[in-house]
Parts: sequence; structure tokens; C-alpha cells
Amino acid sequence: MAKKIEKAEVPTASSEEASAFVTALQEKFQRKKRTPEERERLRKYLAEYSRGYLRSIARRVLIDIMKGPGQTPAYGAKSKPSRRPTGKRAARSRRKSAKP
Amino acid sequence: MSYDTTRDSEQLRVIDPSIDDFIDRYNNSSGLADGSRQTVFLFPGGMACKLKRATAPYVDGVSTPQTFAYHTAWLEPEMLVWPDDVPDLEMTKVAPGKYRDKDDRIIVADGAVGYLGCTPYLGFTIWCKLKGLDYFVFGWDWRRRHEHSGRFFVKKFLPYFQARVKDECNNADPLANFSLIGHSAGGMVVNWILRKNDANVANMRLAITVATPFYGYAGQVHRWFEGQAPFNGLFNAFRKKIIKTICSFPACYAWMFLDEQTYTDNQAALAADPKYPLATYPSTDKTTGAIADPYNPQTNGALSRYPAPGATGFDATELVHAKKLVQYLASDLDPALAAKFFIIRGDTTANDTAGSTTWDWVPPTDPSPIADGAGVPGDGTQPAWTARHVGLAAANVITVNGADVEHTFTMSSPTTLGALAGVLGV
Repeated sequence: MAKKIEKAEVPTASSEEASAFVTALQEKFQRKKRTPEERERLRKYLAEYSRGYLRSIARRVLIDIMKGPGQTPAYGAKSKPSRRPTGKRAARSRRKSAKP
Repeated sequence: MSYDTTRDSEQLRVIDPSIDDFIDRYNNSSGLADGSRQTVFLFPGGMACKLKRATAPYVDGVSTPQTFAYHTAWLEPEMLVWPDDVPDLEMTKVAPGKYRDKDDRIIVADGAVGYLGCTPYLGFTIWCKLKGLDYFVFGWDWRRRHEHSGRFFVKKFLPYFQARVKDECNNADPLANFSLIGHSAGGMVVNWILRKNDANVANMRLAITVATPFYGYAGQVHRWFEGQAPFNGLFNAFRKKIIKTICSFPACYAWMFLDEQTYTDNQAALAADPKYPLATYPSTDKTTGAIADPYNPQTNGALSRYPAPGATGFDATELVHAKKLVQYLASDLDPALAAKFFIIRGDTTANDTAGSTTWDWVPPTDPSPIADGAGVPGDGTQPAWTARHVGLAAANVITVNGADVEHTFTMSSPTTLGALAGVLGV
């Protein structure tokens, strides 16, 4: 008998959420050199988020890359702190709630 | 061995472990429900194939074969943070139609991208296992001309793959019953392979495209001016380098909206699409609304359509070549080939896919001269009208609907896989 794959809800972050997450990452790490210590710091930073949350961000980033720049937010280009919808504080708060 | 020969040889060597995996699966599967065997080759989408870069350069003038170690060059999570590796993908044209990779460090493809544990093709591969299909995910270098990837698959990969599988699977022929499936730009390679109809694929049962553009899409023309987020970096610090890198990729020149001649030739048929008609030419001047053919860029005094070649490496000769390719891929099909060509296109029903663009003259190139028109039905990336070849019979064009048929992950969508099952008869 043929097996059937059921529809399953796979969470996908919104473009705005992914953009805020990536921008926060870039603000935290991009100005620093990519040393083994910084890589380790990045790994630890990402480890504070649940896998599900990171996957939802990764899904959106992949979708937006394929889509092209026209229809997606600029990811980091408009990231001046005063205009950012979700700053570090918000990101921390979300991180806590996203922990497993 | 020349650079090209070495790259092909290295490409086969890098693919070898994936062939090992295929052989393992083949020997441990009982095949389809009726016991028969069916092989499917999946060509992932453009940018959705993993690329690996040699850790040392190719050396000219060496007579013995050269082999290299590789590291992942596309796509690593770290690139979000430190996108300075992305320009390592840059290609250099050394003669018409001949390219080398940056610093002569060979780049090869290796399956599909995975990103923070997320891959667009996981659902497809699980589905194949459940159905008993013998699947192979064929990574192709989406930077190179589509015909290069198609030719490599047909002339180099297939005979090698067949020989290895026969040798290690009790002489079973994996090409006795096989089909090609191309997702997004991977479908352009499949389309090319079908049309070339080489003796090595004469036995192919079906060619299937999923969410593949036949008449271009809106996203690419933005990239010449805007680069690609998130790799542009904070405050666009890397944008110039990203644009230069993209301009060096020959394949990207064939991803823009269709040329005027192809539109004229197919205008009636495009407008007559029973579900998703294209009423007007999709690329127009911002001010006048006149046709702005990406493949026949006009000038307006000192103003033009594309960024300056000097600053970006934009290659007008590549545009000429791409025009021939897109015309070829959109042209009429031999009836025998059309009969085995199936198309699956998606409509998320959100009506938010960019279906047209307006184009201002440049300079300036910043802000971008490109703006998207109103949203139309599609999969979020490809308008539904472009994901269908107008020459195919209605029975060969399947439209899938629903939020889960979104472009990037449509190959993991139960709806899309259900349609695929119908086409493959599994």
C-alpha cells in the first residue's frame, strides 16, 4: 500500500524577523575579524537559540535569497539602531523564549 | 590535463561518495511497490546546490593529473556574518565561453545546500525512499552556463554513473528506466538536456520541471544593481564586491524576463493561458512604459540600462549568449520530446509574486533603477505564467496550489510531491 506524506506545518520566520535576526548577528560580529575565538563566540551565540528557531530563520533566508532582492528586506542595509524594529533587547527577549 | 579537463575529472571525483550512497540505497531497496525499478535524477535550483572550492590552485603545465582537497564555498552559515568569502566564487572569463575560478582554485558542485540543518530537498528524498524510487541529487554549478552543466551531465556523469552502478549492483542498469526532474533553474538544465536529445539520454522516460521559469523572472535584474542580501553585509559594506561576483556568473544572464522577440512570438499563447495569462510585456521603462528588453538594452543619450562594465564586470557579450539560450529554451519542441516533457508550477494563492518590473535609466545605479510591479499569482518567486512552456499540451502542465508550494521548498511539499507521483506513476 502506498505510503503518504502528511502535510506538516514547518515554521518559517517572516522576512522582517529574519532580517532583524541577521542584522543583529552582523552588528555583533561583522566588525570583528574572523578568528577562531570569534567563531567560537558565534557558535555559542547561536547555540543559545533553539534548533527550531534557527531553522525557521534559515528557511526564510533561503527563500529570500532565491526570490532575489526586489521583494525582500535589505538585511542589514537599513539597520541603524534607532530605526531597527527589534533591537538587541528584543532579540535577547526572543532568544529566551526560544530556548528549548 | 587542461583546467577544464581537470575540473571535470575533479567534479566526478567529488560526486563519487554520492554515487556510493546511491549504490547502497539501490542494493538495500526492493524498488517500487510492483518490484520494478525507476531512477530519478534531481537537479536542484540555482543557488541551491552546494559548491566546494579547492584549497590549492590548479597549476598550468603539469602533465600528471591534479587532485585537490575542498572546502564548502556555498553555502555556510558563517557567510551571513562574514560574507567576505562569497566573492571567492567569482569567475574569470579567459576566452569566449571559457572560464576559470578565482585564483585558479577549482570549484565543483556537490549535492544540495544545507543551511543550519535546513535543506529544500529533504522532503523529496524522504518521499523517494518511501516510494521506492532510486534517486540521485545531481549538484550542478549554477554559476556556469546551463549548457555546460547539461553537457557534463550527459557526456561525463551519466556514463560514469551507469558503469559504476552496474559494476556494484549485480549489473543492474540504473538507466533502464530513468527520468530527470529539475527544480527552478535546475529545470532550465533539464530543458536543455531534453532538447539536445543526445544518444546518452535517448532512453530517458520523462523530463519534469518544477517551478522552472521559461520566460524569466523579476529577481535577477535587481541583483545587477542591488547585490544579494544578506551577503551585502551591514550597511551594504560588501555590496560592490557581491555585485561584481554576480556579474561574473554566466548563468545569471539567462534568468531575466524574456526578450521582446520571444514575447512577440508567443504573445497570443501567453495571453491565452487559461489560468494565468500574461497580458503585457513584463519589463518596461519606468517613465514611458515602453518595452525595456533586458536582452536588447537601449541607450538614452549618455544613459543606459546596465551598470558600467568597468566597475562591476557586467559582461554585455554574455548577455548576447544568454539571449540565444533563453530563445532556445523557449522555442517550439519536437512533438516526440514534448510528449515526455511535464511541467509542475505553483500558485500559493497569495498573489504576491513579482510579475513585472519597471526600469529606470542609469546612472545613477543607487538607488536601484528596478522596481517590481504588482503582485501576481505564482509561487512567491516565479510567476505562474512563466513556469509553463506555452507549447505543451494542457495535460502536461500541472498547477499545484496552496501555501506549501512556495518556491524554495516546493520539492518538500506534499502537494507538489503528490503531483510528481502522478506524473511518474508511482
